[in-house]
Parts: sequence; structure tokens; C-alpha cells
Amino acid sequence: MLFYTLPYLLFFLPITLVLFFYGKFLKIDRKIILILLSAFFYSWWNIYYLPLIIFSILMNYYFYKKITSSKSNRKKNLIFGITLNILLLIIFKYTDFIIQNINLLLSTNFGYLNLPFPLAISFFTFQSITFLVNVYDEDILDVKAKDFFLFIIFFPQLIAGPIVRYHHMMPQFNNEANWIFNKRNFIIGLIILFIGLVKKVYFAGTLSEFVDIGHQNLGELSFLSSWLLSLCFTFEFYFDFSGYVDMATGSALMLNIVLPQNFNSPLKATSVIDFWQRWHMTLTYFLTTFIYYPLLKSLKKINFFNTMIVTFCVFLIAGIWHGPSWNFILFGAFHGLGLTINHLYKRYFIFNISKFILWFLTFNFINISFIFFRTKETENIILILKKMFDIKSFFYGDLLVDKLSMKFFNDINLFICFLLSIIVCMAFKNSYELVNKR
Amino acid sequence: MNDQKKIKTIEVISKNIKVNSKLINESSCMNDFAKWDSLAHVNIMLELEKQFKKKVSTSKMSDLNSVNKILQFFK
Repeated sequence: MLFYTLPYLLFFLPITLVLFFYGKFLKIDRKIILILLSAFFYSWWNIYYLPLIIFSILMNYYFYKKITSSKSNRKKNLIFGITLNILLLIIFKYTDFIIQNINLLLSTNFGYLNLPFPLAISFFTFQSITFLVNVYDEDILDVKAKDFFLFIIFFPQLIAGPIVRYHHMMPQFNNEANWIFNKRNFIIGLIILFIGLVKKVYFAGTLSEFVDIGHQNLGELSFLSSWLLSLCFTFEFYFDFSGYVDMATGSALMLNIVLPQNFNSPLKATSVIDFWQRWHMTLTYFLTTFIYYPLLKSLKKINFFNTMIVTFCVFLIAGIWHGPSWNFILFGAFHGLGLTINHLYKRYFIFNISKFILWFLTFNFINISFIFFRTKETENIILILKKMFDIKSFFYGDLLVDKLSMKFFNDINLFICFLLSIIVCMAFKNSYELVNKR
Repeated sequence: MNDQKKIKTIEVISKNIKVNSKLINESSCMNDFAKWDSLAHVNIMLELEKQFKKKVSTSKMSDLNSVNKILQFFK
């Protein structure tokens, strides 16, 4: 079930709120109510995915028991648990991608397995790994099975994050004051949900129409239309993702649960480092805490050079995590390279560059990087980039035969939406700032 | 003893982020200094681990993002 669909907005969410706050008559634990409703929410898309998430939860709970019960094999159990989680992710998400590349590399002809791609597997895998590491570090003690179940399957954050941490979530679920309807939280949650809905349906929806047409007609791209296409996608991507997270945050807040902030006006960033501190912030936290720091700590000597190699590798992993395709790997590599250059600049060059220029450079870097994210075929990525830097055609091209650009400027709705996107992203406070202002 | 720890902690941070120790106090945090990035943070944590002989788990590292939190942890 998706947050912006009528079944969710008109039935699922209201029923969940009523059952959670006024479901005493059912004589069922509130956590169980949330687990059952979340399982229903997850199954709405495809009920066949449900056994896998249940299996993953049971498996991780088993490893929690193993880590906490034995003194001598704690590390072994942690490594085994993390490995199985990653293996599960690789099997369901990457098997066909691996087969495809083996076939390409070795000229073999292995058939694809066409395994189902369970919804949210990337998110619940990361969340489970976070949990196991926190258990190992003794940050989490005494976990009941239903608590862990709820931590993973809680519907607002299940599909697209934010990636939450057990000791951030569980005290909120355990706090009995949160089981009572809170008018203030309900209204603020509703506002955030509405902001998310506008971002997703109006902004992302309108811009995506042009982006889709553009990608279906890449042969017609010109200098101008290639920039319009990439910019439209940058705004579409931001509104789509942050809008979805806003809807998750709003839905959770109506249930008196505060989810961590995941976006902080990322398109206002003035460096690539700054961008990753503002974009998908809970993923950045995960990458830093569970991949970057352990990799650095495992090095015999930490210096600038090997730190940059680790940074690059972490972003390759981040790229692969986004999807089983080379364009995501290129996206990760591009950002890894951008971060390396950013760190180099920060360390060795001390110029005072105006904030506007820094923002302009960063924004264009992000805009170009998102082409890698949206375009699956490498030759099409090259084609778009070539057109974007073919300035000659801008001066010699004829706007009247530039069908894509004409379509953009003739579609008044699209044009207004594009202008509003710029204003909203650059001049407005984000939803988090708006609701948290005192 | 605690004052000594505070002085030592600030000294380690100051050395790694190349900022005068007088500019760092208990309420300082990572966001206050551009040079207190993830690379500097790892070095700070490793050096404090050695100084105070207390291991910092990697999951804790991210949480210790201010002088106050670091002092609380090594107290």
C-alpha cells in the first residue's frame, strides 16, 4: 500500500488510528495491533513477500538471542548474522544482476532466476544489521520478540525509510502516554502528511510526465532540453523521495511516534559533504557508522589517502544498495569521487569562495549525478551529458524545431510547477523546519 | 580528575581539527567546526580511546558528536 493512494488515506490510516487509540475493547496489546496492521499494509502489494520479512525478523531475533546468551561467541554470531542478512539481500535483489554480468564477462548463457524482489528488503536489512550491531555493543538489552517485530515492520518507515534505530523507537512505543490520542501531534502529523502529499502528487507527479517523455525521446534532445530534463528530474526525485518520507513522518506522528529527520533542504547544500549531511540523512548515518568507521578502524594506519579510498568504497556500496544496475554503481562512484575532491579542496585549498558559487557548483554536481540515477543505459547517460555540454547547438539550434523544449514551454502547468519547484527548494523552509518552529 | 579529562579531551580535539583549544568548550559540537569531519572524528576517537583506556564502539562513535557527550562517555 502506498501513502498517497486512496485506500491508505481513506481507510487504512483512519482505521489504524481508531484501533490504536480506541481499540481497548479488542483486548489486544497495542503493539500487536500495530504489528498486524503493518503486516496487512506490507501484504497489500503482494502477500507472497510477507513470509520473507517474517523469516528475516525471526532470523535476526534468533541472532539477538545468540549474541546475548553466549559470552565467548558473540563476535562470531554477530558476523554470521550480518552475513546472512547481506546474503538474503544479494539473493533476492542482485542474483540476476550477477548472472547478467557473468554472462557478459565470460560469454556464458546462464538463465535468470527471476526471483521476486521483496518490497523494502534494502531497508529492513539495514535496520536489522543496525540492531545486531547495537546488541553486540550492548546498547540494546532485553528485547521482547513482539518489540523487535514492531521495530522492523512498523508501517510508516517500512517501505522507504527513514532507517530507524531500536533505542530511538522502542521507548516511544513503550511510553503509555503515547497510547492516548494527542490532538497536537495529530494536527502536526496531518500537516506533514499533506505537505508530503503535495510534494509527491503535484510536484513529483507533474515533473515526472516531462521526464518520462524526455527519456522516451532521447534522440530529440538538444542543449536546452537536456538541461530542462535533468533539472526536472532533480526536482522530481527530491519531491518524490522527501514527499514520501514526509508522509511516513506525518503518519507516524499521528500515532505519537517521532521518526528521525531524513531530509534537510539538500538542494541548498554548498558542498558534496554538506549534501550528504542533508540528503537521506539516516542512510548517511548508517554508512558512516556501520561501514565507514569500522573500515577505517580496521586499517593499520589512518591517513588522508586511505581515508579517501574508504570513502570511495563506501559510496560504491551506497550506489549498489540503491539498485542492481550499473547506473547506480556509477552514481555511487560519482559521489565518491565528488566527496574525495571536496575533502582534498577542504584540506589543501583555503580560498574564500562565495557561498553562491559553492552552492551553484554543488547543485550542478548533484543535478548531473542524478542523471546516473535516472538513466539505466550507459550510452544514454553519455548522450544526455554530451547534449548538456554541447553549447554550440544552443547558439546555432532552432528553438522551434526543438520539440522537447517547446513542449516544456508550451505546457503552462509544467512551467509553473518547475518555477515553483525552484522557489520551494531554494527559498522555503523544509517541512521539518516548518513544523518545528516555535 | 574530571577537569584533567576535559582539558585532555579538548587538547586532542584541538590538535586533530587544527583549531585553537581556546575556541573549544563543553558545548562545542561537530557542526561548529568545518574541520571536525568524519576523518578527524575517527582520529579523535582513537586517540581518546588510548588516552582514557576505554574502547569506543563504532556505533557509539557517531553519537559522540559533541565535547559534552564525549566527556560524559569517558567520565
